[in-house]
Amino acid sequence: MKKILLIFYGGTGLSDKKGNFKFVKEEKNIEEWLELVPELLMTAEIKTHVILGDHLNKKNITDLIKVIEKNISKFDGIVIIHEVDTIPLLSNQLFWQIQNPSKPIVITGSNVIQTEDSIIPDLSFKANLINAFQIVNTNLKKISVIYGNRVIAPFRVKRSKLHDLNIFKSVGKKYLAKIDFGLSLEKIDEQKGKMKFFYNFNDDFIFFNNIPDFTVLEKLLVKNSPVNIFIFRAFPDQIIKKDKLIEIFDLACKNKKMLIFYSEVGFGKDFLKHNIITISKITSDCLSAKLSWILGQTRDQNKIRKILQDNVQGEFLAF
Amino acid sequence: MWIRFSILMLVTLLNTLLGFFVLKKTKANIAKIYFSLICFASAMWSGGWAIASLIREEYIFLIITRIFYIAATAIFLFFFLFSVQFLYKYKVNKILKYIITISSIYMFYIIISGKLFLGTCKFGGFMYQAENSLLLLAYGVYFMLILFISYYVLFTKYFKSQGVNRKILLWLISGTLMAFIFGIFFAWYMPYINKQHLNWIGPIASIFMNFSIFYLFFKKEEE
Repeated sequence: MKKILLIFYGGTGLSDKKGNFKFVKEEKNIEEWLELVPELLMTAEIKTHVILGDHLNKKNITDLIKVIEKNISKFDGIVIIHEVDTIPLLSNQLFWQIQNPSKPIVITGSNVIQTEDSIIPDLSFKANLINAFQIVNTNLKKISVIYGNRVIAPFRVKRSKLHDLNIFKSVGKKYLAKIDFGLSLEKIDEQKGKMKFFYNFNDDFIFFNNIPDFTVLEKLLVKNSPVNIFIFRAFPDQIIKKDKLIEIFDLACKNKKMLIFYSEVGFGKDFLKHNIITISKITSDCLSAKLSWILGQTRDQNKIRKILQDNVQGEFLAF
Repeated sequence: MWIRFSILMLVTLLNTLLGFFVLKKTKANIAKIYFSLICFASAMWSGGWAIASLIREEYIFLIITRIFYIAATAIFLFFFLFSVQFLYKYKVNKILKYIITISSIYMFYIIISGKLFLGTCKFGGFMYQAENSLLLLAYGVYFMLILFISYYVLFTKYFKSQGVNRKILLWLISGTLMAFIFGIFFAWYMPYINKQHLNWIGPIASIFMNFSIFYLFFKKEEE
Protein backbone atom coordinates (compact mmCIF):
# COMPACT_ATOMS: atom_id res chain seq x y z
CA MET A 1 0.00 0.00 0.00
CA LYS A 2 1.30 3.46 -0.92
CA LYS A 3 2.16 5.95 1.81
CA ILE A 4 0.67 9.38 1.32
CA LEU A 5 1.12 12.58 3.29
CA LEU A 6 -2.18 14.49 3.32
CA ILE A 7 -1.70 18.17 4.08
CA PHE A 8 -4.71 20.24 5.12
CA TYR A 9 -4.27 23.89 4.17
CA GLY A 10 -7.85 25.21 3.87
CA GLY A 11 -10.47 24.07 1.36
CA THR A 12 -11.48 21.03 3.40
CA GLY A 13 -15.29 21.45 3.48
CA LEU A 14 -17.00 18.06 3.31
CA SER A 15 -20.68 17.53 4.02
CA ASP A 16 -22.05 14.48 5.80
CA LYS A 17 -25.36 12.71 5.03
CA LYS A 18 -27.33 15.21 7.11
CA GLY A 19 -25.79 18.11 5.22
CA ASN A 20 -23.54 19.22 8.10
CA PHE A 21 -20.17 20.52 7.04
CA LYS A 22 -16.91 19.21 8.46
CA PHE A 23 -13.73 21.20 8.13
CA VAL A 24 -10.18 20.45 9.20
CA LYS A 25 -8.82 23.49 10.97
CA GLU A 26 -6.73 21.68 13.54
CA GLU A 27 -5.42 18.16 14.19
CA LYS A 28 -8.41 17.12 16.33
CA ASN A 29 -10.82 17.52 13.35
CA ILE A 30 -8.95 15.01 11.16
CA GLU A 31 -10.38 11.73 12.44
CA GLU A 32 -14.00 12.81 12.06
CA TRP A 33 -13.25 14.26 8.63
CA LEU A 34 -11.53 11.09 7.39
CA GLU A 35 -14.57 9.04 8.46
CA LEU A 36 -16.51 10.83 5.72
CA VAL A 37 -14.09 9.55 3.06
CA PRO A 38 -13.32 5.96 4.14
CA GLU A 39 -12.22 5.17 0.58
CA LEU A 40 -8.98 7.09 1.16
CA LEU A 41 -7.87 4.66 3.84
CA MET A 42 -8.58 1.76 1.45
CA THR A 43 -6.28 3.38 -1.13
CA ALA A 44 -3.25 4.30 0.94
CA GLU A 45 -1.61 4.50 4.31
CA ILE A 46 -2.19 8.10 5.32
CA LYS A 47 -0.26 10.47 7.54
CA THR A 48 -1.63 13.97 7.99
CA HIS A 49 -0.40 17.48 8.64
CA VAL A 50 -2.34 20.69 9.19
CA ILE A 51 -1.12 24.12 8.14
CA LEU A 52 -2.86 26.36 10.63
CA GLY A 53 -4.80 29.12 8.92
CA ASP A 54 -5.93 28.89 5.34
CA HIS A 55 -4.54 32.24 4.16
CA LEU A 56 -2.04 32.24 1.36
CA ASN A 57 0.77 34.13 3.03
CA LYS A 58 4.53 33.89 3.15
CA LYS A 59 4.67 32.16 6.54
CA ASN A 60 2.18 29.45 5.56
CA ILE A 61 3.84 28.78 2.20
CA THR A 62 7.26 28.58 3.87
CA ASP A 63 5.85 26.16 6.46
CA LEU A 64 4.32 24.09 3.66
CA ILE A 65 7.65 23.90 1.79
CA LYS A 66 9.40 22.88 5.02
CA VAL A 67 6.87 20.08 5.65
CA ILE A 68 7.23 18.84 2.07
CA GLU A 69 11.05 18.88 2.17
CA LYS A 70 11.10 17.09 5.52
CA ASN A 71 8.67 14.35 4.44
CA ILE A 72 8.96 13.83 0.69
CA SER A 73 11.52 11.04 1.00
CA LYS A 74 9.36 9.18 3.55
CA PHE A 75 6.20 9.05 1.40
CA ASP A 76 5.16 7.93 -2.09
CA GLY A 77 3.48 11.26 -2.67
CA ILE A 78 1.91 14.32 -1.13
CA VAL A 79 -1.69 15.51 -1.49
CA ILE A 80 -2.42 19.10 -0.48
CA ILE A 81 -5.98 20.28 0.17
CA HIS A 82 -6.38 24.02 -0.30
CA GLU A 83 -8.98 26.72 -1.02
CA VAL A 84 -9.94 26.46 -4.68
CA ASP A 85 -9.86 30.27 -5.07
CA THR A 86 -6.14 30.37 -4.41
CA ILE A 87 -5.14 26.99 -5.87
CA PRO A 88 -3.73 28.63 -9.06
CA LEU A 89 -1.53 30.93 -6.95
CA LEU A 90 -0.42 28.26 -4.49
CA SER A 91 0.31 25.68 -7.17
CA ASN A 92 2.39 28.18 -9.15
CA GLN A 93 4.30 29.30 -6.09
CA LEU A 94 5.10 25.66 -5.24
CA PHE A 95 6.01 25.05 -8.90
CA TRP A 96 8.77 27.65 -8.51
CA GLN A 97 9.82 26.95 -4.94
CA ILE A 98 10.00 23.14 -5.37
CA GLN A 99 11.62 22.36 -8.70
CA ASN A 100 11.86 18.83 -10.15
CA PRO A 101 9.99 17.09 -7.32
CA SER A 102 11.05 13.46 -6.85
CA LYS A 103 7.51 12.39 -5.91
CA PRO A 104 4.00 13.43 -6.99
CA ILE A 105 2.66 16.56 -5.28
CA VAL A 106 -1.06 16.91 -5.99
CA ILE A 107 -3.24 19.87 -5.06
CA THR A 108 -7.03 19.81 -4.85
CA GLY A 109 -9.73 21.41 -2.75
CA SER A 110 -13.38 21.70 -1.88
CA ASN A 111 -15.40 24.30 -3.75
CA VAL A 112 -17.97 25.20 -1.11
CA ILE A 113 -20.08 28.14 -2.27
CA GLN A 114 -21.65 30.41 0.32
CA THR A 115 -24.77 32.23 -0.82
CA GLU A 116 -26.88 34.62 1.25
CA ASP A 117 -29.11 31.92 2.69
CA SER A 118 -27.34 28.62 2.09
CA ILE A 119 -24.08 26.80 1.61
CA ILE A 120 -23.71 24.71 -1.54
CA PRO A 121 -21.53 21.64 -0.94
CA ASP A 122 -18.93 20.47 -3.41
CA LEU A 123 -20.19 17.15 -4.76
CA SER A 124 -16.95 16.57 -6.64
CA PHE A 125 -14.63 16.82 -3.67
CA LYS A 126 -14.67 13.15 -2.64
CA ALA A 127 -13.99 12.09 -6.22
CA ASN A 128 -11.19 14.67 -6.45
CA LEU A 129 -9.55 13.28 -3.33
CA ILE A 130 -9.77 9.66 -4.53
CA ASN A 131 -8.38 10.66 -7.92
CA ALA A 132 -5.60 12.71 -6.29
CA PHE A 133 -4.58 9.54 -4.45
CA GLN A 134 -4.66 7.66 -7.75
CA ILE A 135 -2.20 10.18 -9.22
CA VAL A 136 0.22 9.32 -6.43
CA ASN A 137 -0.21 5.66 -7.39
CA THR A 138 0.80 6.46 -10.98
CA ASN A 139 3.98 8.15 -9.74
CA LEU A 140 3.50 11.34 -11.77
CA LYS A 141 6.57 13.19 -10.48
CA LYS A 142 5.16 16.67 -10.94
CA ILE A 143 3.26 19.31 -9.07
CA SER A 144 -0.26 19.03 -10.38
CA VAL A 145 -3.73 20.38 -9.77
CA ILE A 146 -6.70 18.02 -9.94
CA TYR A 147 -10.32 19.00 -10.10
CA GLY A 148 -13.17 17.23 -11.90
CA ASN A 149 -11.77 15.15 -14.71
CA ARG A 150 -8.69 17.31 -15.33
CA VAL A 151 -5.15 17.06 -14.03
CA ILE A 152 -3.38 20.29 -14.92
CA ALA A 153 0.19 21.59 -14.62
CA PRO A 154 0.32 24.71 -12.41
CA PHE A 155 1.69 26.95 -15.17
CA ARG A 156 -1.42 26.20 -17.28
CA VAL A 157 -4.12 26.28 -14.63
CA LYS A 158 -6.80 28.95 -14.71
CA ARG A 159 -10.09 29.24 -12.84
CA SER A 160 -12.85 29.26 -15.45
CA LYS A 161 -16.07 28.52 -13.57
CA LEU A 162 -17.53 29.22 -10.16
CA HIS A 163 -19.34 25.93 -9.68
CA ASP A 164 -19.21 23.00 -12.09
CA LEU A 165 -17.76 19.55 -12.65
CA ASN A 166 -14.60 21.33 -13.83
CA ILE A 167 -13.81 24.74 -12.39
CA PHE A 168 -10.27 24.99 -13.78
CA LYS A 169 -9.19 25.00 -17.38
CA SER A 170 -5.80 24.36 -18.89
CA VAL A 171 -4.41 27.17 -21.03
CA GLY A 172 -3.55 25.58 -24.36
CA LYS A 173 -5.88 22.67 -23.55
CA LYS A 174 -2.98 20.39 -22.59
CA TYR A 175 -3.39 18.16 -19.57
CA LEU A 176 -1.05 16.02 -17.48
CA ALA A 177 -3.83 13.45 -17.20
CA LYS A 178 -7.57 13.11 -17.59
CA ILE A 179 -10.12 11.14 -15.68
CA ASP A 180 -12.02 9.47 -18.50
CA PHE A 181 -12.20 5.78 -17.70
CA GLY A 182 -10.25 6.09 -14.48
CA LEU A 183 -7.01 8.04 -14.69
CA SER A 184 -5.39 8.32 -18.12
CA LEU A 185 -1.96 9.89 -18.26
CA GLU A 186 -0.93 11.99 -21.23
CA LYS A 187 2.52 11.65 -22.74
CA ILE A 188 4.74 13.68 -20.42
CA ASP A 189 8.41 14.50 -20.78
CA GLU A 190 10.44 13.06 -17.97
CA GLN A 191 11.90 15.84 -15.91
CA LYS A 192 15.62 16.30 -15.79
CA GLY A 193 17.63 17.54 -12.87
CA LYS A 194 17.62 17.14 -9.13
CA MET A 195 14.86 18.23 -6.81
CA LYS A 196 15.52 21.71 -5.43
CA PHE A 197 13.80 23.58 -2.65
CA PHE A 198 13.84 27.39 -2.56
CA TYR A 199 12.67 29.05 0.62
CA ASN A 200 13.15 32.64 -0.47
CA PHE A 201 10.51 34.47 -2.39
CA ASN A 202 9.47 38.05 -2.38
CA ASP A 203 6.29 39.79 -3.37
CA ASP A 204 7.70 43.34 -3.50
CA PHE A 205 6.10 44.18 -6.80
CA ILE A 206 2.76 45.44 -8.03
CA PHE A 207 0.76 43.75 -10.78
CA PHE A 208 -1.61 46.18 -12.51
CA ASN A 209 -4.39 44.86 -14.64
CA ASN A 210 -4.06 47.90 -16.93
CA ILE A 211 -1.71 50.81 -17.66
CA PRO A 212 -2.81 53.66 -15.40
CA ASP A 213 -2.89 57.27 -16.43
CA PHE A 214 0.50 58.97 -16.67
CA THR A 215 -0.23 61.30 -13.73
CA VAL A 216 -0.89 58.26 -11.52
CA LEU A 217 2.22 56.54 -12.82
CA GLU A 218 4.37 59.58 -12.02
CA LYS A 219 3.36 59.25 -8.38
CA LEU A 220 4.06 55.52 -8.36
CA LEU A 221 7.44 55.81 -10.00
CA VAL A 222 8.90 58.39 -7.61
CA LYS A 223 12.38 57.50 -6.37
CA ASN A 224 11.47 56.92 -2.73
CA SER A 225 8.45 54.69 -3.39
CA PRO A 226 9.00 51.30 -1.66
CA VAL A 227 8.08 49.25 -4.73
CA ASN A 228 10.70 48.83 -7.45
CA ILE A 229 8.99 46.52 -9.91
CA PHE A 230 5.70 47.11 -11.72
CA ILE A 231 3.94 44.72 -14.05
CA PHE A 232 1.26 46.13 -16.33
CA ARG A 233 -1.14 43.96 -18.20
CA ALA A 234 -0.96 45.74 -21.51
CA PHE A 235 -3.48 45.59 -24.27
CA PRO A 236 -2.38 45.89 -27.90
CA ASP A 237 -3.70 49.45 -28.29
CA GLN A 238 -1.75 50.50 -25.19
CA ILE A 239 1.55 48.95 -26.21
CA ILE A 240 1.59 50.77 -29.54
CA LYS A 241 1.29 54.22 -27.93
CA LYS A 242 5.04 54.50 -28.25
CA ASP A 243 5.51 58.08 -27.06
CA LYS A 244 3.64 57.44 -23.85
CA LEU A 245 5.57 54.28 -23.14
CA ILE A 246 8.95 55.93 -23.73
CA GLU A 247 7.96 58.73 -21.37
CA ILE A 248 7.02 56.18 -18.68
CA PHE A 249 10.15 54.17 -19.31
CA ASP A 250 12.44 57.25 -19.02
CA LEU A 251 10.87 58.13 -15.71
CA ALA A 252 11.26 54.55 -14.46
CA CYS A 253 14.94 54.44 -15.53
CA LYS A 254 15.62 57.74 -13.81
CA ASN A 255 14.17 56.42 -10.55
CA LYS A 256 15.64 52.87 -10.90
CA LYS A 257 12.25 51.22 -11.21
CA MET A 258 11.64 48.18 -13.37
CA LEU A 259 8.66 48.04 -15.71
CA ILE A 260 7.25 44.89 -17.22
CA PHE A 261 4.52 44.89 -19.85
CA TYR A 262 2.58 41.68 -19.90
CA SER A 263 0.13 40.07 -22.27
CA GLU A 264 -0.85 36.41 -21.95
CA VAL A 265 -1.17 35.78 -25.68
CA GLY A 266 1.70 37.95 -26.92
CA PHE A 267 2.31 41.33 -28.52
CA GLY A 268 1.78 41.93 -32.19
CA LYS A 269 4.38 44.71 -32.23
CA ASP A 270 7.32 44.22 -29.96
CA PHE A 271 9.22 47.31 -31.12
CA LEU A 272 10.20 48.45 -27.64
CA LYS A 273 11.77 45.18 -26.59
CA HIS A 274 15.22 46.69 -26.12
CA ASN A 275 13.95 49.22 -23.63
CA ILE A 276 10.90 47.85 -21.91
CA ILE A 277 10.57 44.26 -20.75
CA THR A 278 7.68 42.58 -22.45
CA ILE A 279 6.59 39.19 -21.22
CA SER A 280 4.00 37.04 -22.89
CA LYS A 281 2.80 33.46 -23.37
CA ILE A 282 2.68 32.80 -19.64
CA THR A 283 -0.30 32.89 -17.30
CA SER A 284 -0.53 35.84 -14.91
CA ASP A 285 -0.41 33.53 -11.86
CA CYS A 286 2.71 31.85 -13.16
CA LEU A 287 4.36 35.20 -13.98
CA SER A 288 3.61 36.50 -10.46
CA ALA A 289 5.00 33.34 -8.86
CA LYS A 290 8.05 33.35 -11.12
CA LEU A 291 8.89 36.99 -10.38
CA SER A 292 8.34 36.34 -6.69
CA TRP A 293 10.76 33.39 -6.86
CA ILE A 294 13.35 35.43 -8.84
CA LEU A 295 13.17 38.26 -6.30
CA GLY A 296 13.93 35.69 -3.62
CA GLN A 297 17.15 34.78 -5.45
CA THR A 298 18.44 38.12 -6.76
CA ARG A 299 17.87 41.89 -6.71
CA ASP A 300 20.08 42.59 -9.72
CA GLN A 301 17.79 44.12 -12.36
CA ASN A 302 19.79 42.66 -15.26
CA LYS A 303 19.57 39.15 -13.79
CA ILE A 304 15.86 39.60 -13.08
CA ARG A 305 15.29 40.67 -16.69
CA LYS A 306 17.25 37.67 -18.02
CA ILE A 307 15.62 35.01 -15.82
CA LEU A 308 12.17 36.46 -16.47
CA GLN A 309 12.64 36.01 -20.19
CA ASP A 310 14.26 32.55 -19.93
CA ASN A 311 12.03 29.51 -20.24
CA VAL A 312 13.32 28.05 -16.96
CA GLN A 313 10.81 25.22 -16.40
CA GLY A 314 8.85 25.14 -19.63
CA GLU A 315 6.47 27.79 -18.29
CA PHE A 316 6.12 29.65 -21.60
CA LEU A 317 3.14 28.34 -23.50
CA ALA A 318 2.63 27.80 -27.19
CA PHE A 319 -0.72 29.28 -28.21
CA MET B 1 -20.91 -18.26 -43.43
CA TRP B 2 -18.61 -15.39 -44.33
CA ILE B 3 -21.10 -12.82 -43.04
CA ARG B 4 -21.10 -14.45 -39.60
CA PHE B 5 -17.31 -14.76 -39.71
CA SER B 6 -16.88 -11.08 -40.70
CA ILE B 7 -19.24 -9.80 -37.99
CA LEU B 8 -17.50 -11.86 -35.30
CA MET B 9 -14.05 -10.83 -36.55
CA LEU B 10 -15.12 -7.17 -36.43
CA VAL B 11 -16.18 -7.63 -32.80
CA THR B 12 -12.84 -9.37 -32.15
CA LEU B 13 -11.02 -6.41 -33.67
CA LEU B 14 -13.01 -3.90 -31.59
CA ASN B 15 -12.30 -5.81 -28.38
CA THR B 16 -8.60 -6.11 -29.20
CA LEU B 17 -8.39 -2.39 -30.03
CA LEU B 18 -10.10 -1.42 -26.77
CA GLY B 19 -7.82 -3.79 -24.84
CA PHE B 20 -4.66 -2.21 -26.29
CA PHE B 21 -6.09 1.29 -25.93
CA VAL B 22 -6.87 0.81 -22.22
CA LEU B 23 -3.45 -0.78 -21.71
CA LYS B 24 -1.72 2.13 -23.46
CA LYS B 25 -3.44 4.68 -21.22
CA THR B 26 -2.55 2.68 -18.13
CA LYS B 27 0.36 3.30 -15.86
CA ALA B 28 0.63 1.11 -12.79
CA ASN B 29 -3.15 0.87 -12.62
CA ILE B 30 -4.06 -2.70 -11.82
CA ALA B 31 -7.82 -2.14 -12.40
CA LYS B 32 -7.26 -1.03 -15.97
CA ILE B 33 -4.91 -3.94 -16.62
CA TYR B 34 -7.75 -6.26 -15.55
CA PHE B 35 -10.13 -4.36 -17.83
CA SER B 36 -7.84 -4.77 -20.82
CA LEU B 37 -7.66 -8.48 -19.97
CA ILE B 38 -11.49 -8.55 -20.09
CA CYS B 39 -11.25 -7.04 -23.59
CA PHE B 40 -8.64 -9.56 -24.74
CA ALA B 41 -10.69 -12.45 -23.31
CA SER B 42 -13.78 -11.06 -25.11
CA ALA B 43 -11.71 -10.88 -28.30
CA MET B 44 -10.69 -14.50 -27.81
CA TRP B 45 -14.33 -15.49 -27.22
CA SER B 46 -15.63 -13.77 -30.36
CA GLY B 47 -12.54 -14.75 -32.38
CA GLY B 48 -13.05 -18.36 -31.30
CA TRP B 49 -16.65 -18.26 -32.51
CA ALA B 50 -15.54 -16.64 -35.80
CA ILE B 51 -13.06 -19.46 -36.49
CA ALA B 52 -15.52 -22.09 -35.26
CA SER B 53 -18.05 -20.87 -37.86
CA LEU B 54 -15.66 -22.08 -40.59
CA ILE B 55 -14.83 -25.46 -39.02
CA ARG B 56 -16.44 -28.67 -40.20
CA GLU B 57 -14.32 -31.19 -38.23
CA GLU B 58 -15.91 -32.16 -34.88
CA TYR B 59 -12.54 -32.79 -33.20
CA ILE B 60 -11.12 -29.36 -34.11
CA PHE B 61 -14.45 -27.67 -33.32
CA LEU B 62 -14.44 -29.08 -29.77
CA ILE B 63 -10.87 -27.86 -29.22
CA ILE B 64 -11.89 -24.33 -30.30
CA THR B 65 -15.00 -24.60 -28.12
CA ARG B 66 -12.80 -25.30 -25.12
CA ILE B 67 -10.71 -22.21 -25.95
CA PHE B 68 -13.65 -19.83 -26.16
CA TYR B 69 -15.25 -21.31 -23.03
CA ILE B 70 -11.97 -20.66 -21.19
CA ALA B 71 -12.03 -17.09 -22.56
CA ALA B 72 -15.65 -16.60 -21.46
CA THR B 73 -14.82 -17.87 -17.95
CA ALA B 74 -11.80 -15.55 -17.83
CA ILE B 75 -14.10 -12.59 -18.65
CA PHE B 76 -16.10 -13.21 -15.45
CA LEU B 77 -12.98 -13.65 -13.33
CA PHE B 78 -11.26 -10.54 -14.68
CA PHE B 79 -14.49 -8.58 -14.28
CA PHE B 80 -14.64 -9.55 -10.62
CA LEU B 81 -11.00 -8.54 -10.08
CA PHE B 82 -11.59 -5.31 -11.96
CA SER B 83 -14.67 -4.39 -9.90
CA VAL B 84 -12.72 -4.90 -6.68
CA GLN B 85 -9.78 -2.75 -7.80
CA PHE B 86 -11.49 0.02 -9.77
CA LEU B 87 -11.02 3.49 -8.21
CA TYR B 88 -10.01 2.01 -4.86
CA LYS B 89 -9.56 -1.50 -3.47
CA TYR B 90 -12.76 -2.94 -2.04
CA LYS B 91 -12.29 -5.46 0.74
CA VAL B 92 -13.91 -8.80 -0.19
CA ASN B 93 -14.76 -11.42 2.40
CA LYS B 94 -12.13 -14.21 2.53
CA ILE B 95 -14.76 -16.99 2.34
CA LEU B 96 -16.11 -15.49 -0.88
CA LYS B 97 -12.59 -15.39 -2.30
CA TYR B 98 -12.15 -19.10 -1.53
CA ILE B 99 -15.54 -19.96 -3.06
CA ILE B 100 -14.67 -18.07 -6.25
CA THR B 101 -11.20 -19.64 -6.48
CA ILE B 102 -12.37 -23.23 -5.91
CA SER B 103 -15.39 -22.94 -8.22
CA SER B 104 -13.21 -21.34 -10.94
CA ILE B 105 -10.73 -24.23 -10.74
CA TYR B 106 -13.61 -26.68 -11.05
CA MET B 107 -15.08 -24.80 -14.05
CA PHE B 108 -11.73 -24.75 -15.83
CA TYR B 109 -11.44 -28.47 -15.11
CA ILE B 110 -14.84 -29.38 -16.65
CA ILE B 111 -14.07 -27.19 -19.68
CA ILE B 112 -10.53 -28.46 -20.36
CA SER B 113 -11.38 -32.09 -19.63
CA GLY B 114 -14.37 -31.83 -21.99
CA LYS B 115 -16.86 -33.03 -19.34
CA LEU B 116 -19.03 -29.99 -20.10
CA PHE B 117 -19.49 -31.05 -23.71
CA LEU B 118 -21.50 -34.01 -24.94
CA GLY B 119 -20.57 -33.59 -28.58
CA THR B 120 -21.66 -31.40 -31.49
CA CYS B 121 -24.88 -30.71 -33.35
CA LYS B 122 -25.64 -28.98 -36.66
CA PHE B 123 -28.09 -26.19 -37.55
CA GLY B 124 -28.23 -24.52 -40.97
CA GLY B 125 -24.87 -25.89 -42.03
CA PHE B 126 -23.07 -24.61 -38.88
CA MET B 127 -21.61 -26.76 -36.17
CA TYR B 128 -22.48 -26.08 -32.50
CA GLN B 129 -21.43 -27.74 -29.25
CA ALA B 130 -23.97 -29.69 -27.21
CA GLU B 131 -23.45 -29.18 -23.47
CA ASN B 132 -24.25 -31.37 -20.50
CA SER B 133 -27.29 -29.49 -19.18
CA LEU B 134 -26.54 -30.15 -15.51
CA LEU B 135 -22.95 -28.91 -15.82
CA LEU B 136 -24.16 -26.01 -17.94
CA LEU B 137 -26.53 -25.09 -15.11
CA ALA B 138 -23.62 -25.32 -12.64
CA TYR B 139 -21.61 -23.08 -14.96
CA GLY B 140 -24.54 -20.62 -15.00
CA VAL B 141 -24.76 -20.56 -11.19
CA TYR B 142 -20.99 -20.02 -11.06
CA PHE B 143 -20.89 -16.94 -13.28
CA MET B 144 -24.12 -15.53 -11.84
CA LEU B 145 -22.48 -15.63 -8.41
CA ILE B 146 -19.37 -13.86 -9.71
CA LEU B 147 -21.44 -11.25 -11.52
CA PHE B 148 -23.64 -10.70 -8.48
CA ILE B 149 -20.60 -10.02 -6.27
CA SER B 150 -18.96 -7.84 -8.93
CA TYR B 151 -22.05 -5.70 -9.43
CA TYR B 152 -22.63 -5.50 -5.68
CA VAL B 153 -19.13 -4.00 -5.37
CA LEU B 154 -19.64 -1.67 -8.35
CA PHE B 155 -23.05 -0.46 -7.16
CA THR B 156 -21.69 0.11 -3.65
CA LYS B 157 -18.90 2.21 -5.16
CA TYR B 158 -21.43 4.02 -7.34
CA PHE B 159 -23.72 4.99 -4.46
CA LYS B 160 -20.79 6.15 -2.35
CA SER B 161 -19.12 8.08 -5.17
CA GLN B 162 -19.55 11.66 -6.29
CA GLY B 163 -18.71 13.88 -9.25
CA VAL B 164 -16.77 12.52 -12.17
CA ASN B 165 -16.29 9.07 -10.60
CA ARG B 166 -20.05 8.60 -10.28
CA LYS B 167 -20.51 9.38 -13.99
CA ILE B 168 -17.76 6.94 -14.98
CA LEU B 169 -19.28 4.19 -12.83
CA LEU B 170 -22.73 4.81 -14.32
CA TRP B 171 -21.41 4.38 -17.89
CA LEU B 172 -19.34 1.39 -16.90
CA ILE B 173 -22.21 -0.37 -15.09
CA SER B 174 -24.69 0.36 -17.91
CA GLY B 175 -22.36 -0.79 -20.70
CA THR B 176 -21.16 -3.98 -19.03
CA LEU B 177 -24.61 -4.89 -17.68
CA MET B 178 -26.12 -4.66 -21.18
CA ALA B 179 -23.24 -6.73 -22.58
CA PHE B 180 -23.62 -9.39 -19.87
CA ILE B 181 -27.44 -9.58 -20.13
CA PHE B 182 -27.43 -10.04 -23.93
CA GLY B 183 -24.28 -12.18 -23.86
CA ILE B 184 -25.65 -14.53 -21.21
CA PHE B 185 -29.06 -14.71 -22.90
CA PHE B 186 -27.62 -15.87 -26.23
CA ALA B 187 -24.52 -17.74 -25.12
CA TRP B 188 -25.85 -19.49 -22.01
CA TYR B 189 -29.67 -19.37 -21.74
CA MET B 190 -30.38 -20.28 -25.39
CA PRO B 191 -28.07 -23.36 -25.37
CA TYR B 192 -29.59 -24.26 -21.99
CA ILE B 193 -33.03 -24.48 -23.60
CA ASN B 194 -31.51 -26.36 -26.53
CA LYS B 195 -31.52 -23.46 -29.01
CA GLN B 196 -27.83 -23.68 -29.82
CA HIS B 197 -28.14 -21.96 -33.21
CA LEU B 198 -28.23 -18.48 -31.55
CA ASN B 199 -25.20 -19.19 -29.42
CA TRP B 200 -22.79 -17.24 -31.66
CA ILE B 201 -24.68 -13.92 -31.09
CA GLY B 202 -23.42 -13.86 -27.47
CA PRO B 203 -19.96 -12.39 -28.16
CA ILE B 204 -21.47 -9.59 -30.27
CA ALA B 205 -23.08 -8.20 -27.10
CA SER B 206 -19.59 -7.09 -25.98
CA ILE B 207 -19.97 -4.08 -28.30
CA PHE B 208 -22.21 -2.49 -25.63
CA MET B 209 -19.21 -2.55 -23.30
CA ASN B 210 -16.92 -1.27 -26.08
CA PHE B 211 -19.27 1.58 -26.85
CA SER B 212 -19.58 2.77 -23.24
CA ILE B 213 -15.83 2.71 -22.61
CA PHE B 214 -14.92 4.30 -25.96
CA TYR B 215 -17.50 6.99 -25.16
CA LEU B 216 -15.77 7.73 -21.83
CA PHE B 217 -12.42 8.06 -23.60
CA PHE B 218 -13.54 10.15 -26.54
CA LYS B 219 -16.45 12.26 -25.36
CA LYS B 220 -15.98 15.91 -26.18
CA GLU B 221 -16.19 18.27 -23.28
CA GLU B 222 -16.74 21.95 -23.06
CA GLU B 223 -13.57 23.91 -22.18
